Amino acid sequence: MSQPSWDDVVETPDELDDETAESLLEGATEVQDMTGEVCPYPQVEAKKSIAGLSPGDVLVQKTDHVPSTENVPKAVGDDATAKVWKSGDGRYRIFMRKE
Amino acid sequence: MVEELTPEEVNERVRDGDVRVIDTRPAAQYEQGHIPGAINVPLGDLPSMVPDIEWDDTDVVCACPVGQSSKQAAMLIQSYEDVEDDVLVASMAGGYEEWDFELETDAPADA
Repeated sequence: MSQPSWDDVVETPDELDDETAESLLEGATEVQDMTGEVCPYPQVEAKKSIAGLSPGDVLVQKTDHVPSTENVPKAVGDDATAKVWKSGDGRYRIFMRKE
Repeated sequence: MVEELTPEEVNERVRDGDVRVIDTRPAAQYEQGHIPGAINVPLGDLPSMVPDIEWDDTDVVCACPVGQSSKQAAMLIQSYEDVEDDVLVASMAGGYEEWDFELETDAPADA
């Protein structure tokens, strides 16, 4: 009996390739490590940070919690454009560029 | 799409004993107080724990802090092959933030 997977139900933004993600991370304005954190803390912290950034600035959230890759982009809404990088071994980075 | 039940509806169905509540918050929050009879399945553990739960024809409602990740939890449970299509798997709108009814602190029997 197969185990259900988040990948089947979580709607994530467009995915970034490794190279693009790496260069974006290096140029990020702010990086938040949300590994181990669950709803609603990552959403709250992303919204707070985005509110204080300037247009074009990039916030990156590191996480190991698949649901966050949908909830955090939804939480910042139109204030930022979000993309996601997946490591393939359970690590994710959510990139949010302030509009 | 996931159906949402209001806290009032959940409270009514909990009192009638015809719904199963899955509390997806971390164990520490669950132990501080949870909907009477709720089962604690922290969101991160849900995929691995869903196959271990004895699903039957009782409707299910997922509850989280603010009513957002509980929708994902409901979709995940709904996607599991052992959960019948005619079983309602819902999310509690607004989550525990909107729950104004009785809370239980002792843990019920495991699922």
